[in-house]
Amino acid sequence: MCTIAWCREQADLPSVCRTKSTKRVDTRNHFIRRIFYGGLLLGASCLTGRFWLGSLWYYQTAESAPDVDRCTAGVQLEAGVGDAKWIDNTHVLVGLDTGGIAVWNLEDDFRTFVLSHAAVGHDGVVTSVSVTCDKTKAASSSHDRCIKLWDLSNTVQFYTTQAHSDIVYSIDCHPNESDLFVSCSQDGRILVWDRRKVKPASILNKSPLQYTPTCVKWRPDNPYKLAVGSESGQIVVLDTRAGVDNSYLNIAPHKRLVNNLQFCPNKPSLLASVSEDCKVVVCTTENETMKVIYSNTTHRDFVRGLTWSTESQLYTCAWDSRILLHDITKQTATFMGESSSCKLEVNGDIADHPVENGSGDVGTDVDKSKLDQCKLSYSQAVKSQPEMSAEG
Amino acid sequence: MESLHLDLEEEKMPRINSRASCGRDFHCCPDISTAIETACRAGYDFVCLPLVNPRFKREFIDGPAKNRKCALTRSDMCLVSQDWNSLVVGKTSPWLHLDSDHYNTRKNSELALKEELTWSAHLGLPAVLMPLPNGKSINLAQCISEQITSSYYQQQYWLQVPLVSYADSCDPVIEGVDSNMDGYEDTWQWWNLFRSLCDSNKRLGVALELTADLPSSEIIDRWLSEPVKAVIVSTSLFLTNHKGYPVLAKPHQAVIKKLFKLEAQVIITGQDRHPEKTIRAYQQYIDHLWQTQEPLDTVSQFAKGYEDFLQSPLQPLMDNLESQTYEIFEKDPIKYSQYQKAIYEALKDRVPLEERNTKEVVIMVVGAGRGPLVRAALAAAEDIGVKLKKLYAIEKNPNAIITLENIKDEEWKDSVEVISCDMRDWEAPVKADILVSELLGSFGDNELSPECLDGTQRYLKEDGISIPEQYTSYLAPLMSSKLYNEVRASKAERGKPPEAPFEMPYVVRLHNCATLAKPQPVFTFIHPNKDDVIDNCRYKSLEFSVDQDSTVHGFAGYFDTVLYRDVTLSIVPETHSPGMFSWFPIFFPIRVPIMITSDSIVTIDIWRRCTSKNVWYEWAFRCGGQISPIHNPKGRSYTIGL
Repeated sequence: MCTIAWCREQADLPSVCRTKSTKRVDTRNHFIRRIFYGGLLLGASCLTGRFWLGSLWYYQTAESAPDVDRCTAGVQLEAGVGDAKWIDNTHVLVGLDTGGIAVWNLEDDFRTFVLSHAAVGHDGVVTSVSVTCDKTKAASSSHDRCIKLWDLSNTVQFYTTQAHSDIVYSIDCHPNESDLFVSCSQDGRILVWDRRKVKPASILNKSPLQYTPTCVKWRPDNPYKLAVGSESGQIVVLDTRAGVDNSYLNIAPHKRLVNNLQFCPNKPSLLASVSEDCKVVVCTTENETMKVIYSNTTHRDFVRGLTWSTESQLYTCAWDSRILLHDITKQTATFMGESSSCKLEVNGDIADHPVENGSGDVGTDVDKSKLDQCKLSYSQAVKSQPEMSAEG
Repeated sequence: MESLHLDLEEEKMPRINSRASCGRDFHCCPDISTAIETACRAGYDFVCLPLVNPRFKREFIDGPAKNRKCALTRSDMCLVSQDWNSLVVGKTSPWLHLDSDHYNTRKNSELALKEELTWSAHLGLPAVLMPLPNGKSINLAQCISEQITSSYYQQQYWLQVPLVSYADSCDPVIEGVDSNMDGYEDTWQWWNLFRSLCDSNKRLGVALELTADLPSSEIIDRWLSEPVKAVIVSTSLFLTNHKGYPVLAKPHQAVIKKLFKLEAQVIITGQDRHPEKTIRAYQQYIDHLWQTQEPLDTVSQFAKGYEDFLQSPLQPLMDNLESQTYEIFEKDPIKYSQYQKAIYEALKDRVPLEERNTKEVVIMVVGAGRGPLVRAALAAAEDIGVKLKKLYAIEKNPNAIITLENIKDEEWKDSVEVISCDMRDWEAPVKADILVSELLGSFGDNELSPECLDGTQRYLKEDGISIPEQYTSYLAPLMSSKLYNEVRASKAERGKPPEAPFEMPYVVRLHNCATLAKPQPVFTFIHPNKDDVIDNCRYKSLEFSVDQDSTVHGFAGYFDTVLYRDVTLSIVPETHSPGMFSWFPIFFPIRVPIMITSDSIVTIDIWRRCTSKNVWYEWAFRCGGQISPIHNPKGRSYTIGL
């Protein structure tokens, strides 16, 4: 029912190894899963039901996701998982609802998740994690209003600060400066951090962004530009340099809070966004204007995660427990892991897709049968040791 | 005469908790059974748990997500109802922003909050904890107010307020943003706004969050007048002592101990930062603070169970006191020894040393009760070696006369004459050298001592001495939503106007309150009254300068008295006679609380009105543009019978 995802492109294997996490809820059994897929990393959390646990899944081939039986590796976590990022080809950084972080290593030819390090840190749910460009450190943000920096070799926390006066929603490390990162919070502020300074944070003028910023992401090919999504569904690209007019790159493609943003690594002028209006949007930021070039409302619940595969392919996952592969060029979206009954949907705006009743919807039926299947294998996975991997 | 009212039906038993009540807060709860079990095993009395997974956001307006089909949260069958009722404080979701500027956020938050509160009422949770993260809580107040009005289940809502705002607690790491030089934002204002909008409903409480930095002690003391139900203490505030155990710094200890007096419970939040000592160590430390509280002084011990308990002042002139009432007040360790001292001094002045063997004096005790003042007078005379010609004990209560006659037979013999008569009507055979009385109420003259003593001074010698020789009442503005609610909850007696509960003074052991300015003297009476025309009517206008933002719910009244020369009794806080418990303060309420900003002037006008039949007070308040009507005009709600 619900899906969350994060994703990160592997620099070394740009077209093969994609990562992404998905959160899913089994409507009948009231648990949510996060799955990891062949080249695709998924995370799932049970947000309701008796146990509010999380899980990580890896799928060697993206096409197998989110089928639990076809995963390459999977592991159950002690609590819900709010965010995960690749550190390198085999290491994954995870932010947990407990307030802790953990580094999991994929061993045995990607078949087994082994815990490298873990640490408690925050006094609230971890909302996002980010790895520095030199891969040695990580940053985390949390409901506890704090930002923490971690040494990834041993997950020792070496810096903690409360600069925001409310929940910190998102943190992102700079693409090529390991001392720089950006954070945004319910307090309405976007802070740009440079750890080399005595007073490391500075407030970024967020105009023309209205309302609370909910996610931030640096543009990978430009050291000064970053994208910000907001509570209202607005997205702006801001320049961190003073005096640069930011007013052009401003668009409001969503009707609800923007959950996540991702620039296309191969073509950074493309910016994908996912939102609580259940929509996936891709914008171009060329010629000092932002324009929607792709919009899809196939997901039936909050869209949480996204990852680019190629410059025209984008994976997204949502709380409807489904993963979609979007083809920007062809303007199509395909459900993953449903090879037998793959469903193709025409893209469109939310206005063209009035809320469906669900009855008689082929997609819904397919989903339910699949969820039953998942339920069985998930229960089996729960019985095994949490540290053990489930092999596909 | 003392003013503690002992109504057996309403008598409160002192509640003595042998240990601190301490709860454990969980921001994340993967498994509810494990959470409760670990907390209970570590000695905690309750847990604070999210009602719904904190990340589980819902859509109520439109879009596909509105049709999501799954349970809101875990089943109520995860715990037996007794556990839900007694062990769990529910927490609302952190993503609720009912005062967001954005319509969708606000609307979704409203509906989600309603959903969560409905669920918490279904579970029968004793309280729901929700954050009050800033001064913008108007819409939240509307929702909570609506919920309170529409729900029959008497659930409490605890608003979590930090002692220092989160913005003021930020690290100074932001360029161009300096730490606030003007002091801290006043978080009490957040609560005051919210509470006022919700009409100070009794079901609202404060969960005060202890912060690393603390505001000034005046600001902390102001919180003592609020319904602080819990104090939230993060494990990050704990230091480590030389044995490795978590301890709090002295200022933090002091705040917690102050709040213990309000019976606030402690909630430990945050991760275990002393893992080698386990999470139990925090609970043990809090209990240690509880156990090492300073023992109660005599007065507090005596008053245990009577805190903030409204009592009607005694009317010993109209009603006869009961044996039990006499007995309690005769136990006061201070009052009668002061009287004895005063009589001693008076006798010393009255009879010079050289006349001790020749001169005889007459002492009259008016309102002798069961005789404590008679004993004091006899003892004083014995001490100083003055011969008493006669000691007259005048008492109008026929039941007390029985006691007096018995003591006379057994002990006092002929030295004491017992007179069963109203002191105002008695035709004395001789005139007295010294007239001793104990007719004072909590507000000095409120048990009609002036009228009584005026009626007796005709049988006092021209140069005779009255003990007490003078008394003065005092008033100070008071903030106490607790007392305001207590008054509001009482019903007007039949035949009285509906506002009657707000138009009478109450005797009350002030506890959950703050006096906002130093008490000022109001009415003074001197005895014997040598005025040509005696007029016991009074009028006084008092101006109080209040130095912090606050809300006035009424005025606290006290008195002091000069028994003789430098022998005094006082219940004015600054000069209170140590250990004396005979009088609790008096409380004059106001119908509508008055909001005041710092450094404003509050004016009280108070009248003492008299007729031949009765006496009453009228009072009114003014502050800025706010003017209260005159309370109790013509004594319509409350009079004291002569």
